[in-house]
Amino acid sequence: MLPSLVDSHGDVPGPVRAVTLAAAITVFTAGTSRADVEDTMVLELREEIRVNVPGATGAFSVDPTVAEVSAESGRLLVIARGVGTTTISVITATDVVVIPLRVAPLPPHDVVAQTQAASRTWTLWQSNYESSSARLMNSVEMVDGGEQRTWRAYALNALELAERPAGDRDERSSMPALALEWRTPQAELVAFDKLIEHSALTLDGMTVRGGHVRVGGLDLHAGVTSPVLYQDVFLSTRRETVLGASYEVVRGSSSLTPSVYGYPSAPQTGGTRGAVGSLMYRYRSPEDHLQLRSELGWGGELGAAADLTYQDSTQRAWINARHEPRGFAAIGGNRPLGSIIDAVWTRESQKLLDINLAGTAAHYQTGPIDQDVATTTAELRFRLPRRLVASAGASVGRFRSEPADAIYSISAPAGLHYEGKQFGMSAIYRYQANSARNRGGHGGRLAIRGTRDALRLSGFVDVQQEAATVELILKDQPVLAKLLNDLGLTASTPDDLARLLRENSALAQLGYADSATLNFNPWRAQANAELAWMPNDAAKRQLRLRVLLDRTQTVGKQQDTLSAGLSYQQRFGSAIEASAQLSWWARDELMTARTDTWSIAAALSVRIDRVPSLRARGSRVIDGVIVDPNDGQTPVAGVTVRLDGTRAAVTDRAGHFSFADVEGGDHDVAADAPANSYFVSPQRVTTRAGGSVQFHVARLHTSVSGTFRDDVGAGIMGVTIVFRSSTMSVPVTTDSNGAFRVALPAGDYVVEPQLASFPMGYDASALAASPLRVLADSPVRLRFRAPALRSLAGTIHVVAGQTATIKIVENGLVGVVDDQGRYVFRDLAPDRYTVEATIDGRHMRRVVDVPAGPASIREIDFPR
Amino acid sequence: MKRFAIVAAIMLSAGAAAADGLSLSPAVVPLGGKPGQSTQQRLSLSNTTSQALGFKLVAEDVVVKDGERVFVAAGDERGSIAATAVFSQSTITVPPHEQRSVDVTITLPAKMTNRAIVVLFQGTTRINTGATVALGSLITFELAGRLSISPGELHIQVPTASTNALFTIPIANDGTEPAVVRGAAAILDDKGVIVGKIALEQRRLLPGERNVLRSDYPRTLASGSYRVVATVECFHRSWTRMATFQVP
Repeated sequence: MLPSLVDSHGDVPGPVRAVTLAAAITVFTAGTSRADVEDTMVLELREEIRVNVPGATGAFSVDPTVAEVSAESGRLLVIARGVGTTTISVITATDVVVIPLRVAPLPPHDVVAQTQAASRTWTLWQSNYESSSARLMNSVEMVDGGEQRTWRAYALNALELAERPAGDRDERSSMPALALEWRTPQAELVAFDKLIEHSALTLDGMTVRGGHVRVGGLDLHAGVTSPVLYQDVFLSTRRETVLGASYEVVRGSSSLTPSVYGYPSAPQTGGTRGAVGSLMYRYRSPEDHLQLRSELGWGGELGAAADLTYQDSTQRAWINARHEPRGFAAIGGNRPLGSIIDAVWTRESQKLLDINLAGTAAHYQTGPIDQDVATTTAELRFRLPRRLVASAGASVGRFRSEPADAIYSISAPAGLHYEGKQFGMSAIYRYQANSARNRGGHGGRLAIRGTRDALRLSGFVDVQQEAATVELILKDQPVLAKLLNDLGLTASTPDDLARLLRENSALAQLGYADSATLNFNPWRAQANAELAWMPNDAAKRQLRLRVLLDRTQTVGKQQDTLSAGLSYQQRFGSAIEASAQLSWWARDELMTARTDTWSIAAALSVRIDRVPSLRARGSRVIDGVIVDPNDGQTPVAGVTVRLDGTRAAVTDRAGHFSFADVEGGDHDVAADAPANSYFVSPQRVTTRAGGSVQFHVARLHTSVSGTFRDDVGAGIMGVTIVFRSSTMSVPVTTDSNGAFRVALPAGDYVVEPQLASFPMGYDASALAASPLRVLADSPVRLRFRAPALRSLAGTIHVVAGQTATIKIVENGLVGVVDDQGRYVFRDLAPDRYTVEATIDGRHMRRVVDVPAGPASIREIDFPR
Repeated sequence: MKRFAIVAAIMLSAGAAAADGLSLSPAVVPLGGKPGQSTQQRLSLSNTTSQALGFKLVAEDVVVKDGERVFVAAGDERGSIAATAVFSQSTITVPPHEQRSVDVTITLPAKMTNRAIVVLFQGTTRINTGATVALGSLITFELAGRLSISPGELHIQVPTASTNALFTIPIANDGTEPAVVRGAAAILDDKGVIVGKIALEQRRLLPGERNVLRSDYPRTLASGSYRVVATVECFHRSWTRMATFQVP
């Protein structure tokens, strides 16, 4: 006869949840005397639960201040009133079920994240036109995601609208990106493009067009790759073949991955034909403090790579090293060959001092470039009062490009920063010197940022004497030069060059850059300003104006580069987003020529949370039913249900509706509220083709409220009243003021105060079930009264032969004295009473205060 | 919620001492610890009479003999706890309508034989009746000993015209540590319906002490058969007792 849980019902006031009753239930039979209880039912303060206890007719708790309980018809109601522990005794016809209970304090209030799960099924169409390249890009992406599997289709078409130069045989239309993907947690199948980031010695961030399979730890790739995206419709003529296979074995926090990658075709964009065999080891500590990746491989030459990251709450260290000598088998454009080591250590303190140390040493052997770069940077940031930060640092660099001699440079900045919430400012002084000039120069940078409502302003001015500037010597292609400028691919220090070559080595491989040179400019200035207006509205509007000026002065010339851009973007509804940009770029070189270019760009994207069905029409159905859960799951007929707001169906007598020929993906199903009813389940749900939906509606309810008070008008808390009709049973419990309120549909009810739910000390015997008719729109008010039990008892000590009487003077109430002199007065109202005992004509009096609450006053005794 | 208050002739010998216009708090100080540990407790005496009252401070051991509490002078028992009590002042005078506090520091001896002391405020000023008053605070100590109580059977005194129904359960603390025992009972009619619920008076039992959990039901019961289910709890454990009675 163990209790079982039942679902909590929504008509119970206050928080309700189901709890697990552990094996803490002990059944006593008459005469059983003891139980050791090990597990406990745990409730939170003010929580209410209902538990099925077959045969239960009544229940009580040892400490009603911890929990109020009542039982009726095999159902136990437990209301957590106060923090503490107690025992609940549930009474059946023959047994007692004992349930230990602990009421825990409420947990700290958490801010519930109001996040709405984004749909994982969508179709996104985007179109983009850019006038300087005269290129129109159109893409469509369809994703149909689920817990266990996801498929995705993506296609990007580029259409060249400009007249092609004579002899240019590239196609006007090309497919730079194309993918069809199917994924599960265990497997993956991709046709066409996949970005492969396998390892440092094989492919690391290279898109391969072909076929890709993953099953467990096995990865297979076969296809071609090319950095030239817009050359042909489907396959670039400058492509290289890639074949790759790897298998990862995972043991705990470590894994071992042997790999073989082959590049059998003749190099088209740099690189080396051949094959690479490698073995990679990976380790990740349980809390991700430490991550290690190391790889050893042979690709005609011996190569090695290692990547170590450590981080905790205050510091982070990172070391990356790679050695791939010229001749090591590699795909061109993937990354520069050579020997490279980077190291960074950062320590952040919330209170005082931040430290940032970084170093790079690299010997690049890629394309026509054969250079050594080495830099070391140290930066300290001191946190001062009033949001001020002071910074100081030093950077030392070495740059050598064969066959020239090495050049050394040093930079020492120091600055003061203000980091306010709406305003920030930074002023930095910098001294730079290099060995080529054998002298140094002063410089500095002033930067500000500010925010006011929707406006944001930021800008900087940077000036430097004796500036050492590294730049790629680009071929005469203005469009490419502007593109690089827009992308910020201007190397101004050896550090920048190291980064640029690593990330954009295809520029050199493709022949866009002849080489990189180091320039020494007597004077260089850069200024940038950006003003943005971004109101935080649903349309996500953004208006941005950006201006960038770069002036470089050398001995022989002065070059000004100015670019400006004005852009605006806005969302229309939840599906459409549009943006437009106007750009102007100019370069003015004294003594030479001036170039300027206007361009416009416009983009439009449309997203809908569904995908077209890939199956034949008529093969999929969405159906459902609408019922009234408060009325025995009665079907509700005649309700209009809408699918995606475009199709409608009406429920039949069984409350059933159905939509046939439903496309794949997510669908919105919504029901109209029927007359005099409302929804007790979500009115709108999202489901997929083949899904079944259930809506719950209930009839409009009438308010029924009332009070339970004692004989002096004080409210009685914790009394349960059940409103029972032919189809439903609604319990409600009085609050600390003895009040209750419930909403009931119109109809005839029987009101049953649950005597077992009364707290100790009240006489509820006069309360009986009574009929109640609830009419629509006619609120009902009920009043119940249960007097508090108060008694006054004692003993009159008499000897044999003496007679004694007892009475209360104020009301003349006479008590019965038994042969042992005992008496009791019951049903007393709260008051001060004079109790008078008379023994053989001798009167004795005692004054007793009877309180307002329940009281059993004893030992009001009278001596002989 | 209103609790079912039992207003009885008050105060056990070591309970919260109270007299007209005098109150001592706290009345009971339950402590846990280990031998060798010290504790300091502050006791406050409030005098709402119209005369200044003087008191002498005394600590006595509370031991259990034949199931009942007995106060023993400090040092008379081996392992006396009261003998370690040190007061911040040995006497105190509380002016009319004022409150005064005394700190008492107690060190648990290595071999304790009892688990409680009483700190007595013994009056030195005669009040109007010519008598003196004494108030006491009970301080109990729970060590890592054996926790055990033994509830007896449920006894019922049938209600009459001159007495309420009375329910009693004898309790014995047969463990080595103090125990606080409480309980409740339900009265069911012959149909199994609860007609009344009552709380059993809470008892604090020292090791070896015996007492009775009791409660009366202050309502007239109609003639018929009744069943009483009582649950007693202590040390997060519970015991259930049942009995029947007949109202003629």
